[in-house]
Amino acid sequence: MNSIVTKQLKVGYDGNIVVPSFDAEIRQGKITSIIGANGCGKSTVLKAIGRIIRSESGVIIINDSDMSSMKNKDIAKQMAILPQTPTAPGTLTCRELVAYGRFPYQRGFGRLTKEDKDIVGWALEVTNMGDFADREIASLSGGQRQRVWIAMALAQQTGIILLDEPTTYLDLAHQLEVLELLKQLNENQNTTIVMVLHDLNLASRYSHYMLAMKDGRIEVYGEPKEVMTETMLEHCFGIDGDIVADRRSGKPMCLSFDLVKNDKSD
Amino acid sequence: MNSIVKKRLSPLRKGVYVNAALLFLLIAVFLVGCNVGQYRMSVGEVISTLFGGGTDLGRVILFEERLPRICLAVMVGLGMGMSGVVMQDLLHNDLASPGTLGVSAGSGLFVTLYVALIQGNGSSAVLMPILALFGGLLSAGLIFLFGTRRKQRLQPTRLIMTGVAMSSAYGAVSTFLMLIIDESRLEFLQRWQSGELWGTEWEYIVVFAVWLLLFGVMTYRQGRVLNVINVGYDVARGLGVNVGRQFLYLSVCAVALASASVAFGGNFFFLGLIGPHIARRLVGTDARVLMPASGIIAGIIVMLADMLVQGLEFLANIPAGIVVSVLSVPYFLYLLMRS
Repeated sequence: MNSIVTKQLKVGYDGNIVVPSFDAEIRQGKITSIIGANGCGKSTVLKAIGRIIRSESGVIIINDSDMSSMKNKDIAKQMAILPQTPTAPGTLTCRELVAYGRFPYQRGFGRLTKEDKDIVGWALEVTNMGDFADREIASLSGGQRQRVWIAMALAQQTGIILLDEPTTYLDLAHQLEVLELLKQLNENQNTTIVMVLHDLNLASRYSHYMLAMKDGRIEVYGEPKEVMTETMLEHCFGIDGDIVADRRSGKPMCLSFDLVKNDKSD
Repeated sequence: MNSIVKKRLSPLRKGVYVNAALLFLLIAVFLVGCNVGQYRMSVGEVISTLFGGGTDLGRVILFEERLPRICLAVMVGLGMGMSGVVMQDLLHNDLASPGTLGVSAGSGLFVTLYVALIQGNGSSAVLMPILALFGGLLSAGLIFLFGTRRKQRLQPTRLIMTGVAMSSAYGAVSTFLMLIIDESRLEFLQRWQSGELWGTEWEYIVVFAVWLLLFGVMTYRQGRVLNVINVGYDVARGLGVNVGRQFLYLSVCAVALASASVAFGGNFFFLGLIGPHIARRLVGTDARVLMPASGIIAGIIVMLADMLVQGLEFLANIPAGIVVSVLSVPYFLYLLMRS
């Protein structure tokens, strides 16, 4: 079963095509990480699927319906997207921000119904932000802030969540915390999670599938053990790395690496 | 559930209470304002005259002199205050105001053209706001044209920069026109530019009120959308908002609200900056309570300024806009220093 299917998706900015033709099937109820070097188009693809940027051509199917034939609000009930390092007005409280996740379900003036309030409360609890509900966003640490944003996406009550580098600017412990939270959501709610991650080892540890991109195309897509190979490191990242099994998770990880010698400078 | 959990007032509910209090204050200032001037009337007299009682002289002074002025003052404030919130939320910039998208300079230029070339005293209730609106929209439209590129995403900074450049161009043309017109037209324009509440005929007031109600409601209905856009264009898109379309719709509404205020009241753009700023401190970020609060606060400021002009001999004949600036600039600076 697939949550997202893309066919010949073509995306670019300003007429420069970054991703010429992207065909992929994202499995339902799994965590999929998109990896690749800077500028390979991984964020671009995610944004196009999350319709933050318009694709030039191609088809995106979510939960078996063509996205182009769906209303914006109906898409927002099935798929949430968290952009990279979003910023909220500092005086907004956590609860207010999380309540914005109910936007696609509201009409008119938008008073929160009992159900809305329950869902907002639940999203704050799950993300461990219940105690901070009435605090202003500005007073939160980076990790807490990221958790509030995730809570907002949860309040949207979608089966699919897209995240663009959710661990950026977080220290190691908070990176793990965010990924653990996503893993729990995946396990408990069966949420399909698609994210762009910079850290290969974390991607390998937390993902069911990895999708490695190079120059706007899919280099290799599969389980971490199929993707995390020395060949992929060389092709996608231009590094000569050693892949070993992680002592804790058993997943493949890149231990140490060098720049590939005789690399054409680009 | 923990029973000791403190029941906190939600920001929205708190905002509604603050708005109610502000409205009360507005009415109080309104009644006191009816009281200010050469002819003394007590608040009781004002109220009884309003409801058909009182003396003939009192009725004439109240209905012909004071009420239209005060109504105009309130409406100018409401329009500018609301428009300011929309602009700041749309552009994610607390320094944005209806002037940012060149509305002030654009509508200014058209009003100047009208006064300079067609009618010396600008006395057309319908034409003035329509020209001001047209000038404002045209200018906003040009700024969009130059400030955005096709297929590229909205960039607030670029729009603001383009607005600054376009405004100075419009300003130059307006100044040129003012150099070549005759004395009486020049005086009208100078007073208009410094913010004189000039459109105090009832016919203006009615047109303005209908205009304000129409665009006020059109804007206010989108409060929830504005909230989400204020968080970020990408976040709003993810929540199912058609950002491009809403941006256009809301800018037109904001320009329309500001243009009418410009046309009847003159240059009160500073209100579009300070109204939202003060309101934000009182009610927070939710546009649904911020818009009315900002409008009411700006309305109170204009009324107070006008009361000073009416009540204090040495301020007689000074445009209210100047008093607004004198009153609010120090307070604004104080707020900025504290934050």
